[in-house]
Amino acid sequence: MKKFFVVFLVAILLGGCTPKPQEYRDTLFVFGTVVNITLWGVEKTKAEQAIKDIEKDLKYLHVVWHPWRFGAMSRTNELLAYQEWFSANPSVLPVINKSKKLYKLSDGLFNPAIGQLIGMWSFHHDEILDGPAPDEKKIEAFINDLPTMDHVEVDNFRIRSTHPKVKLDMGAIAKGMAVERVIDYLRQAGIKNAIVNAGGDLKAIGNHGDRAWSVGIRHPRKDGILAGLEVHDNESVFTSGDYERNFVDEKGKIRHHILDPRTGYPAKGTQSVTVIHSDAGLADAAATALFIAGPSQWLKIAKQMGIQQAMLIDEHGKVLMTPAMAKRIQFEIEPEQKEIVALP
Amino acid sequence: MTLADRLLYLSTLIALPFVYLYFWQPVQNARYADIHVEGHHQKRISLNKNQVLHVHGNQGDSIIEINNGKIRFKDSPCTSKRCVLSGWLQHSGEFAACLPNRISIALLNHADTNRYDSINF
Repeated sequence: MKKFFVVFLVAILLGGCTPKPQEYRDTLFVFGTVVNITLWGVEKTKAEQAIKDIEKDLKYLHVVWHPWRFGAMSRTNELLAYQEWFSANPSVLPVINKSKKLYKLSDGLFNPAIGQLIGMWSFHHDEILDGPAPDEKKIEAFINDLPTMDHVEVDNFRIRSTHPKVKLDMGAIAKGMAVERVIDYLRQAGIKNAIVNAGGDLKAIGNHGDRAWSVGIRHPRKDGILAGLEVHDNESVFTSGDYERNFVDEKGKIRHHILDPRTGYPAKGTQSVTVIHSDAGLADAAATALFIAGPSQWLKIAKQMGIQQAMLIDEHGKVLMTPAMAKRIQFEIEPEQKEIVALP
Repeated sequence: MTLADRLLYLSTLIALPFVYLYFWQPVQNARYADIHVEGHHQKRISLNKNQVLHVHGNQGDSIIEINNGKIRFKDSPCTSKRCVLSGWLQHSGEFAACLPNRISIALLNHADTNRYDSINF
């Protein structure tokens, strides 16, 4: 009995010595956004080195892919304006090639060739300020002669534009591709459990210890979390919402940054779209495309882009989910209206 | 009284204030439940969504039901059915387990801000 008590007490005391969970969190202000990285089960020195390398890489990518600041993409845009073949910088080719494919799959709703339109709306600035909406006639003229990714021709490493108004702005895919690159780096560094969140869009690998990564999806209209879900190895969760990057125009109307290339104006009918897919670049572009597609067409576009798990909240707050998404989502704020809708 | 007995009394005395605080703190309705199987975290589920889960354990499937913010073991392959007799759980900190099937349910209110590893928006 005596021995039992001693063992019992020692066990209790040793319990207090159990090492704390091996979670390493860091926040980077890079790529024009806040990047939160959480690593699990990684030695501190290794984690710190990984974060340093990631920060360097993301800073580089921000310069390279930025369409409006001096770098590879802005130089590409200058050369595209000549409408003649030139040798493209290898750092921009992967994102251009991927964008061309996704442009087609999205029926043109994901269209990074509309950089000029984005500029007209002043959404190219890091900070969005209230001000007047662009001139209606200018928008109309742009839309009537719309540049698309089909106007960007790629022949191995050579590239040209066949439309004078092509200006590439990769804002709707760059974050996804950057997250993908960070995850690749982590894997190469032997880090198996991580979640990388760039400005609210994320990808996870492995687990958080002995459980899956737990992610909350913010409510598009209320404070707090709309729903939570478990995110498994190699899954990305991307959301496009009208509550991000918007301004109030001279008439008091809220104008958000997700421009519909069919109209030239901020897309209507949707509050937010959340997409889950293994490819973060695809998830990023698809979230934008489905948002623009709106409640009437989002399922068609989702199917074409290979998206099985998606949720759309329409302008009235009704939640529409594909069956695969509905299975895993747990609402914290129960929507007044929700519907599970099958892909065509 | 042996040394071991004294140590046991001492540890009990030290633990008493914490036990008091634990049991007398205001009760809150839970919003989530953590389900563990064989000691490993299996799932964190919201109590907002009515559903019935089949959780596979050591002896077979335990049926866990969630209804109107409450959760219970509806059935389990154990013989004693103590887990089922635990009834509905709804307050944070409540706990029920089917020991033979190695499945447990722990309720949480998530008052802390870090209830998610990451937030998507």
